[in-house]
Amino acid sequence: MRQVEEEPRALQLDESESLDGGLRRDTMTINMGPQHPSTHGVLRLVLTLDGETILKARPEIGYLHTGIEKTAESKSYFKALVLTDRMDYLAPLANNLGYSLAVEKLLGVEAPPKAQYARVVLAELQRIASHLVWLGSSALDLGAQSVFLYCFRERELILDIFELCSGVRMMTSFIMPGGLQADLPPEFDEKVRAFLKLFPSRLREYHDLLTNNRLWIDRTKGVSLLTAEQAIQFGCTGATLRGSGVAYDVRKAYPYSGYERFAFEVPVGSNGDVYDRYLVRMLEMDQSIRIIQQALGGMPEGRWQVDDPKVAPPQKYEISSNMESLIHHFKLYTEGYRVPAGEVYLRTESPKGELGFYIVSDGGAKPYRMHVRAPSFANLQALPLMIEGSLLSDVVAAIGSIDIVLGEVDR
Amino acid sequence: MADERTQTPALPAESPTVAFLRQRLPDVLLEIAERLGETTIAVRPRAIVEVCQALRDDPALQYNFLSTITAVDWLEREPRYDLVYHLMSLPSGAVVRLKIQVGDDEQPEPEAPSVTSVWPAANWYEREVFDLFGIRFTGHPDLRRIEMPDDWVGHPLRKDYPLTGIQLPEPHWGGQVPFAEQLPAEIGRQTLREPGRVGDVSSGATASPAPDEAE
Repeated sequence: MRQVEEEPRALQLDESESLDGGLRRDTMTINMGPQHPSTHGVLRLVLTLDGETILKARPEIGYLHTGIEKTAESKSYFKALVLTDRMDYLAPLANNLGYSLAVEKLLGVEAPPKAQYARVVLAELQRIASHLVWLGSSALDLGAQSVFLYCFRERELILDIFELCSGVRMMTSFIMPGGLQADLPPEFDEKVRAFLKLFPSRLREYHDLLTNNRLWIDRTKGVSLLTAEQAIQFGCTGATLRGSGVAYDVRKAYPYSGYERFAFEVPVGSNGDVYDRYLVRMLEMDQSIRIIQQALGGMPEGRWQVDDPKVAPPQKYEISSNMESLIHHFKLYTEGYRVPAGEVYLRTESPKGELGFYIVSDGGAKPYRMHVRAPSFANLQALPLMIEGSLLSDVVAAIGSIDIVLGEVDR
Repeated sequence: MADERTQTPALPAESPTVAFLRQRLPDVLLEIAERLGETTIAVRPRAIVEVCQALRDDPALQYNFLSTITAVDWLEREPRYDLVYHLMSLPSGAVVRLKIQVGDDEQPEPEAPSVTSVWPAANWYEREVFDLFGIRFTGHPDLRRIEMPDDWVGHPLRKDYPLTGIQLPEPHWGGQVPFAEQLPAEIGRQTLREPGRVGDVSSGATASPAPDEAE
């Protein structure tokens, strides 16, 4: 048992001594991370402090560098897909979608309408799931513990839907070049509708817990400011950019996978603080629900993959009855398909921001070069701007508000 | 955001960007390619900062957003590397890809001018290219490795860097062990599967699990 300490004595200052002369004014350099629960992975921040004020912040990354871009050069396009799941591991389907669209553009094929609608539904469900992890963990960082548990409860429902489709909860690889891995299960529509019915009321509960909560506002309003100009200069995208008042959303600016068919709005903040980024993501979840409803309502019938045996693998029953299917299957899973030489940069709006795939093909069956423009990478680069000059305790709020995933930052 | 922004990332054949560069900086243009609805403009390497500055500052174009910078290693070709810049204009929605070729045989290390003065966002992208390709950016304020440890040897995304990695003195843990120092033979065999060996500081090396060489 620790002894109860005596009441601390009041600081005694010699009358003749000035404050500066009497107290040490050294700065201190501390490491925050790489193992720190609030850095959302393995981010290391080297902070130079004067008391509790941050004079200089330097993010150090690379602790989760897995060489995905290098590995992709030795995999066929077919197999490199699974690498993309592991970048932003909170939104694997968003990565699958970006990669698949880029490869499809190089191949010159387009996914059939049903696949496009299903991709939109899945990508928006993934956006909600990713935002729920962000909301739960960033609220937890600031001391709102119960929100975390509620968010994971709802995320579980979305993961159940993914499991229903693909058999996997997280690293689904369900969206592939040419369409989807499999047809949507018969219960899909019903399950998603059940989620859509439940979720808005749950979202209102989160608003009740946080949006007008005095403590939440005190910790987030006016904290870690980023002006629109700075956000653009540093290449921020996603809610980090929109929270500062720039209405850039790839789904509106460069629509892909049929997003131009759906009516939705892009929430934009104005102050560029943690609170505005919070509100932008909360409102984005509302818009995602709208998009899912429209896409489910208009879901066309038909194939879920392109009708091209050179790209889409044949069905299991065809392999045992059809010689050509067996050959196609063998070729696809051993050599893969050849992609015409060329280069493509395809941007999509992942839950974190602009996710870009730059793929260079030399005409072979493996990507000659795959570069991923990870939104978290650019957003993290702007972190020192937000936290320098503010207090140490606000660093946690700032990291939470830019919603980084280190798997994507380091790749 | 302007309403008349383009719906696809494509520019028409003689886009305003190309027309602007033809008129303003005709000497630096090397090649203009239109493929898959994307415009690629190859320029002279030395002029890249000038081109970027002009594209950003022109009131009609306003390429104020740098999406990404990356490199491609064409091992056999000379110059060996392509540096690829993806720019975007938030006001108009136009996008363009700029390309320069770097890496002559005469130079010991490939070099390119840094565009950090045009877009601060270039800082980390150029550090990444320096780290993974070994292309040096002149005028970069803080050119250090970003993904790999500071004392790493080699540049992993080069095509001649083996996929299996290269043999390094172990353990190799961000500068804790002087890189050139030969370590006792048994240290290299330390693995997590040998309890008791890991964390044994008395052997003179800092404890860190080394890749299993026995495999």
